[in-house]
Amino acid sequence: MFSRSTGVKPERGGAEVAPLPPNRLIFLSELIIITDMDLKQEPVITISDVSFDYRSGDSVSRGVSSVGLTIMRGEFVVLLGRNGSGKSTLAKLLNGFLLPDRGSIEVLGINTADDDKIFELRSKVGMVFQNPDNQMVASIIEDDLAFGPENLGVPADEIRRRVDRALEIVGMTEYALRTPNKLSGGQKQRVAIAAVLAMEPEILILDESTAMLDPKGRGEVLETIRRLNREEGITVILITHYMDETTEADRIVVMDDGRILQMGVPHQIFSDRALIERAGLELPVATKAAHLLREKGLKIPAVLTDEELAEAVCRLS
Amino acid sequence: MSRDVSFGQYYPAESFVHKLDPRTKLLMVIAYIVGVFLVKDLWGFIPVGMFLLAAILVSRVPLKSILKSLKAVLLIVILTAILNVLFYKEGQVLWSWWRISITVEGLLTALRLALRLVLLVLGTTLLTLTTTPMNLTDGMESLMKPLKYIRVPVHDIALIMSIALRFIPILMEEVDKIMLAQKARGAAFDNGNIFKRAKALLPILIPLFVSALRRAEELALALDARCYNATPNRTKMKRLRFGYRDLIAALLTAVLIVLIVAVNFRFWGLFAPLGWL
Amino acid sequence: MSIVVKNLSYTYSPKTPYEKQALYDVSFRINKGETVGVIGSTGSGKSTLSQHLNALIRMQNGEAEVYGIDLKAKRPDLKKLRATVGMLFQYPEYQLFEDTVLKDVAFGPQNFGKSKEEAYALAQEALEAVGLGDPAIAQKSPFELSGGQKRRAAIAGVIACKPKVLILDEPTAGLDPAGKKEILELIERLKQSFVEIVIMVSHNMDEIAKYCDRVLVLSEGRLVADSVPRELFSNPANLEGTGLKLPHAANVSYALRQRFEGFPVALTAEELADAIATRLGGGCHE
Repeated sequence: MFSRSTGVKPERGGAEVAPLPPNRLIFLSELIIITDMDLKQEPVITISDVSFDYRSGDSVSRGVSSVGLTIMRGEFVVLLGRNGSGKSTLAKLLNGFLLPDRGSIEVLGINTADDDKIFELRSKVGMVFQNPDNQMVASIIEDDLAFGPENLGVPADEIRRRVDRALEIVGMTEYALRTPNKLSGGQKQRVAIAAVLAMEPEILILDESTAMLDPKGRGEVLETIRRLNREEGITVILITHYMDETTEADRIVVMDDGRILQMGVPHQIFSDRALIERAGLELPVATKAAHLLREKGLKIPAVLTDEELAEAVCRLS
Repeated sequence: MSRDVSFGQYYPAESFVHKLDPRTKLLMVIAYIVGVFLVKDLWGFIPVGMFLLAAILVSRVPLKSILKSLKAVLLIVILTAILNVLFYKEGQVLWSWWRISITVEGLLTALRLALRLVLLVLGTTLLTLTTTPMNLTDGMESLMKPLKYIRVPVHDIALIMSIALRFIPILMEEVDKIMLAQKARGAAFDNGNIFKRAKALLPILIPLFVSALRRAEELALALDARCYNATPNRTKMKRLRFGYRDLIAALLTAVLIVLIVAVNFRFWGLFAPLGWL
Repeated sequence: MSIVVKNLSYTYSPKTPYEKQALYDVSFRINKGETVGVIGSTGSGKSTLSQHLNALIRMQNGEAEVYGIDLKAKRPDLKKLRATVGMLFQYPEYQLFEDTVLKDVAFGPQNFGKSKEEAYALAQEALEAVGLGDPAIAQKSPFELSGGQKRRAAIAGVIACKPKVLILDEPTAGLDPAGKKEILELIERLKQSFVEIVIMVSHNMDEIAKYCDRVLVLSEGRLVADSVPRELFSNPANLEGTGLKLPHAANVSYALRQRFEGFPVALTAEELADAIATRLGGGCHE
């Protein structure tokens, strides 16, 4: 069955990472070494020079333009960018909802334009959307979870096993027979994630799935996503407007006007103020304060979280 | 938040009736409806009523919840009864005035009609109270399966029903929200003539449609993302299975039909003295 | 004293199995010129409270007065009240319905008895205030606007009624960072020129800390704190049991106060940077 939470982060893809001493600041250079050491070498998504425009009648609006990106197995990638920057378009290209006008996309060895394998592709690339209410088809939670595997023709007892497991992973087992209508936003979204997990995907795409939730719900969903990434080895692509959801990402991809502006580890991205400005993003409060302090001539390293900033300040004094 | 909307009014309980296969229940209700229409004279309602009462008792659904369903049809029942009483022309006249006359036959016909309506509503209510909407759709889908061979998209129809059931409470909540928002902008929904009132609904209906369309768009993506129509050999997690309960229920239903027919044709001469009914 | 609420309690579906008390004995006052934040986790009673203030919910228990209108009266003057208290719901763009932006914004004033000409003039003024004054936009269908524009149009629809109080429920929900900033700055501008009181219901503590003069904290239907942000956010203990967290800057300040005695409560990144800059060199108590 599935491994229970052990509280320890297992290494992804069998990579060996030397444990860091606790309470030690991680500097940029070290992070780069760590990602190099991390053996995420197997590409699961290869996007080669892809362009796509939306056309309706005579009007053409840009979706994405000349995008190239490779995502490795087990990676946690966050897509950032203002509304209309092409994030959702890119997500929809990944599971064949949209087909590239130019270039090609290969996901787990399947070309997204390959009509014969479209359902295999979609079962491997789970997609969770913004409003959890609009993703459920059944009025009973476990029946809703069964919908995906039923569509794939999975045998009944195997569906049962998958449904139970998916509910357990998102911590909603006791709600199996209830209606989704009375759940909190966070719980609903966890059910929506479980419904996708029941298809046993290898990649999970979350398109602003935390946007409509309150802080508690967001926390629940993020925690679930992290666990899926670490314990189940699922590759995660998270689209969000909340900067504090990006701090634990392996990589941030910043998009603007349909193009990839920059990509890198969170520290790298948030140390580039011009980039943040240009892409219409904001800095986490701690990061912004650190920038302001550096402007005042203080030697504060790049930080992302409140704790890191407090640590860094004490270290300096 | 302000209103508790539970559509389909499923009443959760662990009872014989709840555990019946939905197909059995659907067929039973069909047989029951046919039975109610078969009844010719008032005595025939006794087995029907007893059957229903027994089913209600076994189902452990509080009588109150079932009777609540009558509220909606009470007016219709009373109205048809009154019309029948007043305008039935044949039979022994008890009282008459102008073109109106009350006859024994009229009274009996009215009673029969009223009983029929009440029994029908109560019976179907028991079905929806003891069967989840999902199970009901599953049952219908399964019963309609033969229609697949004449190219009726049975599963699509079932899915549409299931989605409709799921979205009714969501959209009702949405109506609440939109109404509050427009009220805050000074909209009034409860004064003026019919024309004015209809126009006053636009600020609710248009946002509601827009919202429904937006939801439909996302839902369509979600269906595709979960591989809807991936294979013609769709499986089901919960296969419906007939059990010994279903057998018992089927036999009891058969007994009911036999009883009704027996009363109608007055077999055994048992009911002969009551023939004037 | 422009808004006075005394001992307000409210129960949904009383005397039914679904009975649920949403507010317990809530009392507070709000004065002209204040921007008040209302915070609390989902289900804490924030919406119930704000809906009382414009009589979308009928009072059950307690007293309330808004700009001299007694909400407890048998038949409070709803028109006058709702024209005085503008209310912007969550995702307000979903309430747009007319075929042009201008018409939609004029819907409110017309309901409140303004003639067509007056209503359109007020609508135009409101659209200008939210930065959508361009006639090319005003004549567009509201459904053709961008997300941020739609929200601003919805705000215009509320302020076109010239309310004295503006209540906003999660005004920045679902927007991207630039859109959020735009809306918050707009609210601040409106506060200076259009309305006398702003009540902001929000989950975002950073926004509350930055923009509000005073904060009401609700927890399970009870008012558990009524305080200025700098005091409220000085210690996480003040929010204990509410499911809320400190704003980021205040959170760092609190951590630093454990080491630097008397470290002030910062509410924004700028304040935090200034405070740290002044303190550094003071030494770290390990």
